[in-house]
Amino acid sequence: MIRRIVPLLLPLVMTLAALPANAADRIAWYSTLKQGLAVAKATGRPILLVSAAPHCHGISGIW
Amino acid sequence: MDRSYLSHAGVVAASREFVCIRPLTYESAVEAPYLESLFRGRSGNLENTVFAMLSPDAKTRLCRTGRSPGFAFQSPDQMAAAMKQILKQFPSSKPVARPLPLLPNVRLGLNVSSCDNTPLAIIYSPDQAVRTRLEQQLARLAWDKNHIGQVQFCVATRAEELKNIAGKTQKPGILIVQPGTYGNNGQLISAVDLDTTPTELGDAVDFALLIAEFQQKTMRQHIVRGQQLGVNWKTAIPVTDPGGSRKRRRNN
Repeated sequence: MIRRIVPLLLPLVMTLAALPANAADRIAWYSTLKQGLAVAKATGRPILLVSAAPHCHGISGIW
Repeated sequence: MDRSYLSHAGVVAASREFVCIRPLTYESAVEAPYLESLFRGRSGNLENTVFAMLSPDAKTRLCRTGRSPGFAFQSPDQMAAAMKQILKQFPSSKPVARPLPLLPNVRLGLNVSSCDNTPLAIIYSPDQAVRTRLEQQLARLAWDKNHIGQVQFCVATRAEELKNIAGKTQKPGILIVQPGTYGNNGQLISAVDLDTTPTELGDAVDFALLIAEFQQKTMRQHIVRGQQLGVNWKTAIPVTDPGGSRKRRRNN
């Protein structure tokens, strides 16, 4: 069961917006080599790999 | 990351037929040697970012590797065209259900979701069987066309892992969190119990996507403000990028 105020507000917000407001198309990433490489092998799909550090000069929250 | 390439509509569309992997640089001693084997900068060390396109067995490089897509392609359009061309070499067979893409832990989950400006869904249960069931349930949602790439995911097995998340997080279930600006904390915005139905789970995720608020970040302002606030991200291994490690070669 949804615990919070979702049941009360959901009908309203879902009426106002059929899709999430910030639903810009994005790439869906696997975050570990172990999981990603295993999926590539199992599915036979080529790999797009872009490693990135989730901080800049020690400040987190930005690539 | 080079967002102009990776947010390009043609690149995103082509990415749906690739397996996209974004390892977190300097967050795994196990992964670092592999990334170094793909690309080292002029310093000879692992730099902040590595870009590659590889065959499914990861043995063949399908384009020039480098620090970013800009090393291989002159424009996002060119990258999208190259990806389409690559896909012709690997015609898709019958669809295979993909597992839930999981971040390594809650700490990195908060940080990465903050970097991406997305909510973070945490599967929280001490029971492995329960976690597996919820992962499978979330995977179906994560890869559907309305949710793909919109949410980050990770797992927590102990309450202690949730200490930086405000809200009532004590009860096992799926917790959907808005990450803080610096990804070092978060706020619970939606949650479902362990016995949730797919419909309830979808509603909870959609609700979180609707109410989560993210500010556009600019690099300079974010760094200056973060320094003022004393933010200091600890990497798992030393930062070796010559441009990103002036005063902080390490970590814990």
